[in-house]
Amino acid sequence: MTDLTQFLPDIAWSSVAPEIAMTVAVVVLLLMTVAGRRRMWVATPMGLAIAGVGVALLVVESTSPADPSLPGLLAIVAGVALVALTFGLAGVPRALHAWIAGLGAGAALVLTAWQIFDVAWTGSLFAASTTMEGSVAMDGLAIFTRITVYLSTLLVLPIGFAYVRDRNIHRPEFEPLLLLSAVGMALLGAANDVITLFIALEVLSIALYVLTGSARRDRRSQEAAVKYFVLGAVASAILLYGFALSYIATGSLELPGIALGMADPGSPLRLLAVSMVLVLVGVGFKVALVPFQLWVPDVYEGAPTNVTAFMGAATKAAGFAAMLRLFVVAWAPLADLWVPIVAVLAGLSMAYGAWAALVQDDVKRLLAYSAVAHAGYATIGIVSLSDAGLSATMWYLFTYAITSITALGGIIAIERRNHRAVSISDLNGLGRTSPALAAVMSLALLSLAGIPPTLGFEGKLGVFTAGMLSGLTWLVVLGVVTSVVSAFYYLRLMGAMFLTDPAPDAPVPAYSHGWNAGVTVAAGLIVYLGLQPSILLDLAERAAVLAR
Amino acid sequence: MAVVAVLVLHGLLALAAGLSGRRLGRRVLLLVACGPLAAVVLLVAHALGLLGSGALATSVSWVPSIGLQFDLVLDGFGILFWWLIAGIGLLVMVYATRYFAPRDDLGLFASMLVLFAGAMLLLTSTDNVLVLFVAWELTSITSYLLIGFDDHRAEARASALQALLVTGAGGLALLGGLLLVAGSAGTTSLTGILVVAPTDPAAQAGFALVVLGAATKSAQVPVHFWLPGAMSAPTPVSAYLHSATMVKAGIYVLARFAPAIGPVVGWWAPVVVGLGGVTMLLGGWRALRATDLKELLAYGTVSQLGFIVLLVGHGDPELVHAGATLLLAHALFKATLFLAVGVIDHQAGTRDLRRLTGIARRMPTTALALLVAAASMAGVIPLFGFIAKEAALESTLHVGFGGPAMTAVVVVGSVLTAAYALRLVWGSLATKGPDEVDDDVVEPREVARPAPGFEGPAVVLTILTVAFGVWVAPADALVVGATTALVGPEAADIHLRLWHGFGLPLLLSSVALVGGWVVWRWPGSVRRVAVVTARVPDMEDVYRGSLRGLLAWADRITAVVQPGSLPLYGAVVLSTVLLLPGVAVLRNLALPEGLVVAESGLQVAITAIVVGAAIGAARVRRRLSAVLLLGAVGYGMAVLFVVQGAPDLALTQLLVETLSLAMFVLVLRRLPERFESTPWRFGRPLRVVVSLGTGIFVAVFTLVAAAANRQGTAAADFLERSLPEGGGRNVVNVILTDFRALDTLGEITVLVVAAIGIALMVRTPVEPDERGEVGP
Amino acid sequence: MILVLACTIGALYTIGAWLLMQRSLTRIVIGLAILGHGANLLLLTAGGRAGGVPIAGADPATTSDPLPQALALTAIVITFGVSGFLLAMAYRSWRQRRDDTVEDDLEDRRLAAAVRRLDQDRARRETREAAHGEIADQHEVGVGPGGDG
Repeated sequence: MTDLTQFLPDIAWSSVAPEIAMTVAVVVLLLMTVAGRRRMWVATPMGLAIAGVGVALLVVESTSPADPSLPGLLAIVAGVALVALTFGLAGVPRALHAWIAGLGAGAALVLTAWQIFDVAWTGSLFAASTTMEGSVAMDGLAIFTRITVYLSTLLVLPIGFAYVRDRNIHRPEFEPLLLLSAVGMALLGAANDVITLFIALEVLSIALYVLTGSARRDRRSQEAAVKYFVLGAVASAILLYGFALSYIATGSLELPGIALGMADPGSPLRLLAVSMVLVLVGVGFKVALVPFQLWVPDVYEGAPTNVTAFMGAATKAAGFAAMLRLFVVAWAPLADLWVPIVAVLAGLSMAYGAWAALVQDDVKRLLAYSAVAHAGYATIGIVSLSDAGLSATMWYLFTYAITSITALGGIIAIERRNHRAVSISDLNGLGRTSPALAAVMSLALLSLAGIPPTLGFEGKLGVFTAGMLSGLTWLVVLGVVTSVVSAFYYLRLMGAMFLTDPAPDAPVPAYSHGWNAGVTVAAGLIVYLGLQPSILLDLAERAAVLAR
Repeated sequence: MAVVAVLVLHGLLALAAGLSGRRLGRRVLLLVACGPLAAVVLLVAHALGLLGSGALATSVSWVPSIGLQFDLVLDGFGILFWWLIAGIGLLVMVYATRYFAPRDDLGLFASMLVLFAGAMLLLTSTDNVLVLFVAWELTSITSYLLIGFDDHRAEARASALQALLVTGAGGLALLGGLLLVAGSAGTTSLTGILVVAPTDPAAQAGFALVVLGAATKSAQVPVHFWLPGAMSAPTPVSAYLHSATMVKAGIYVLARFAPAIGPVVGWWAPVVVGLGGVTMLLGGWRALRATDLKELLAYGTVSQLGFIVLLVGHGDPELVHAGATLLLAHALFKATLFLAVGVIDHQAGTRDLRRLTGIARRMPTTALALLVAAASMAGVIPLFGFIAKEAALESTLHVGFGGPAMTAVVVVGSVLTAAYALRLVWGSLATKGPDEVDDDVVEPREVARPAPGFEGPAVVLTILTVAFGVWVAPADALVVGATTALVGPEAADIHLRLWHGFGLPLLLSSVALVGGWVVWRWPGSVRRVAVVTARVPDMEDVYRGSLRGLLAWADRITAVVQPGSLPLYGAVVLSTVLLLPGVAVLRNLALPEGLVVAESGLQVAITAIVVGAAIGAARVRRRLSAVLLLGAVGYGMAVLFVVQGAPDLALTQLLVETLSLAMFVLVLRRLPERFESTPWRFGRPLRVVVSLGTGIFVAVFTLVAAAANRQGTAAADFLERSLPEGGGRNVVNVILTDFRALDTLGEITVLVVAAIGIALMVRTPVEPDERGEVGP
Repeated sequence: MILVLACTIGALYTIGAWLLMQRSLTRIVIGLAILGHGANLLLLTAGGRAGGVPIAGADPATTSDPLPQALALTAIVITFGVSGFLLAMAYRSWRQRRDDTVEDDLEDRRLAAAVRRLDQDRARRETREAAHGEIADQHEVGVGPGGDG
């Protein structure tokens, strides 16, 4: 009789704990959808199971009664909360779904914090390690990306809830897709080998394609989804080809292994250079660097606005995390080759994004072009090739995520009542008709423009400083110049809100409890972290540790 | 810590005013006046020596990691500015309680005003260039909101935006400059930068940006035009921001840099001094043509700012001293003039000098204040303005190279100053003949007498203008303190005097006064001279033109780059792939040795079938045929996989292909039988080139890659570990289910997501477009 | 490396790319599938020449590399999911509009039209100015976009 325990794999669950929480939430949601009215039949056993796992964890993992296992406690709370929510919100299944999704994202965020302090912390810096046969990294970048992604999810869920309900595009599939896409993003930030990376990218992308097209009655949404989808598939194919070439050239799929193979003097450099470019196309598409930005305006505009907010904020963070890992870890030996190319792309993105946004009438399109410019700013940190640059990029993406969610949250409130695109003239006189909304929007716009003392300023200052320290003066100057241009169109929106008279047929913004809560938190973060960024900025700095 | 306390107080007052504005009514302005009052108390305590030596320096961390740190150091120059900001701020806030009728949004106004005061105090007391920039932008934003305060007037809104764009852009130029300079010097400390005084190209570019930023803020030619526009602000704002304080922020920065940078950077002094000179002359000239009293004052301010820049920009101790004096003098007389004009405007309902007459008799106190301030501006003895002008002439005469030119500019500028001072006094106060006024003139008896206390602030400033002229010691102490802070202890010996004796400076001063009278009395003669000189292009037109051009070009480029066509986007992405590495690679291409055409006849046959079927799938016009051909490609691939030693792959391919075929047939059954031919946005040749290029690129690379193939150690490793660790003999299976089980889980997730998506697409009933847009 | 296989891969990529740049969604799906076949073949050939089936205990020198095979297997499944979803979209597009083509973006077309109009305006203005011999009109420019449509 063979001892079967020898085949039991040793899996470091803690390294993907937040993703597990999210996936459990997805499973619960899908099961509930299937169960229909008999959802208690799903909630009760699931809740009990989750709580039971929690009890088991408490017993096994707790080192002492004074220091109980946090995941265990969390699982018990979540299990009980699941049952309680299902009872409490029995009459409003949509709200129930949103709450469960929020529960999942919240648990993921708590588990990320737990990862920081209980798993990956050496006292001053993040520890870097890999798990799952080297395919999942457990380091600063992975964890910081989780913070951004899960926080974005948690903000977008309540902000967009009433919006999708109003437009009658709220389907039970909505939340699971959102969560799955977030899981893909978090894994993308943690993927340490190219296969895991590719699959994480596919999970998040396909979920996003579906979400983009989820406004099924809206033709623009459909077309946006098709465009995003087809181009995304092409980009994925190119990425995959790049990975295949790098595997051939280095014999390794793991990123540190690729770097090792590259450092070998006999390695076919030309082949590696080509694979580098192919990979750049693949990830450049996801983060929307010029010239792979073409899909951005159409998709931003066509997708339901809450999806746009999520996509803009979280996908960027995840895509850049992957880009950082690929280029700073795997392609590090070829830095002389890719730094100039990527730096030029960053410059082009800043310039083109700022320039094209000038002439947009549609606010979502304007923000889309500005997103291209922001991708350029975030890239400055990557080409800085320093720890300071690394943390600056992560920090920038965090600031951008919060800010763009706030800005698009404002659009959501306006769009809810008038079911058409929001043009700049729709903002006219908002400062008089809805001062609170105008104030929040202005805050977000000032932050996007990088005007102190908002969060966006801290972000921009970080990447510019990193760029200067690495001698990328020209890029920083270009960044400053394009910031000036971009300040123009952000302030133009503010001008429309405060300095023009409201049109008689101006849309009346509509709010909801969820919207209020989400936007208040986001705006609060912009102000609070703008004034007092050190809390998270320190974390970002210490997170400049990559598993190699 | 006292400095910090004052700054924090400003912030708190801004908050309190914003929250309680509606309840307090106009008294909210008195509430916020506590901020400047506290600063004044601090300054007085310091002047009396009540504070310890280190009281005015402190450091508070904000974001140390990116160099943001409040290093607050209030030196002599800072103290001079603090006096202006706090003193005039206090008076303006008191004045504003009379200026405004009670209205709901005064709380917001007061809040912005005190926030501005706090930002300005911060700007002039921090040693950290980044914090300086933060404060700088804060003043721009508050200024924007204050200018646009009367937002029901379109003109106010437009000029507010214009001011914000120009100064905001300038602010970012300043940030760029400061970052460059700080990068070169290796520190973000202002004093540190000045000690290092870097001169490398990056730093030089940085200095140029700093000058640009300062020039926009201080309304220097050619970016001065926003200041006259900003006159649509309420008068207290004009008096405070646009003459006494904010516009001097640029001068503050230039004065800080000039003594250290002027000597080491060759272009600095000529450029900055030249900028100031041109601005002084142009501003003075434009002031002569103005009919709106505030516009006249605005151009006068532009001219005087140019004068100060001319003096402080050089960096020579004596010039800096004169500049600091003029700074103080200008703040005193120009604020008075604005306040007085504000009273006139408020009472008479107009500030058009063609509609005013007999004001002097209706409000003698204001008239006197205005008269004295204008005299000080023109440089009449024994007022403080005279002392400043004497000091300026004295110092420019001492400058070696360029001194005569500077002197000449100052004299001509002073002639213009005297002329527009006369125009101002005459225009606002005089009783005019019927041919000198418009038909809709405001009769003196229609003008109400000002409320008690309304004229007070102007009177206080007037008294100071006179007092500092006669009793120069306090002003001297202030100015010497400022100068030593800028250029070092060597400047401690330069002192102010009312009477310099009969010399060239006095002569030139007199010439300026007489010349000014001539110019004002016979403007035609001068105008004829001016016509000869070319018409100066109006920078405002240039601003508008460039704005328009920028937008038009952005339109054009976006239209070209972003045509919105999916096929074209695909082509762009693919072409990038081809162009970037393709070029590098096609040079010296090394094909592998030992190239085998084919390993077996079977291989050739199958690949021929696959390619043939694929071509067919692309070419046929019937949908169903295309799908069947696609199926043929798939099955062909499965066979090829078997030949290549991958039975697992073949099996999967077989299953998937069958499923796909079923799926395709199910869907396409409902679609029309044939593909429609649609018109193309871009040409067939391009698509042929791109797709062929892609294919060739991939094929070539597959060959090149094969030449470089380095069999991974992973393969042998997997073969070895498969049975003992994974418990299976089929290595591919073990990889999928064990070694890389996480990836397989991810793959399943992809399928789940796709299935959800398909369900969403297929199950939902079709309804008409929500946005009601119909396809073309 | 085998020339035939390289050429096959090249041909599949060419046809796939060609089909991707079409308007009909059905053709795009077919293109994606063909591109997928090309990629799979590529992954497989990345493992080197055809060798023995990778079974534990076999000599590593004569077997094919199992890792690319696993990767290709993953790719096949993902391509299947992707094609299925795109097909569903094509079907939906057909039900909604009786058409399965992808249109150019409305907003982009609006902008392009605005630029064309701007050019016409300018040409008209220039001829007018040439006729009158006057300096360009100085009408107010707000902060709105140059070409409003």
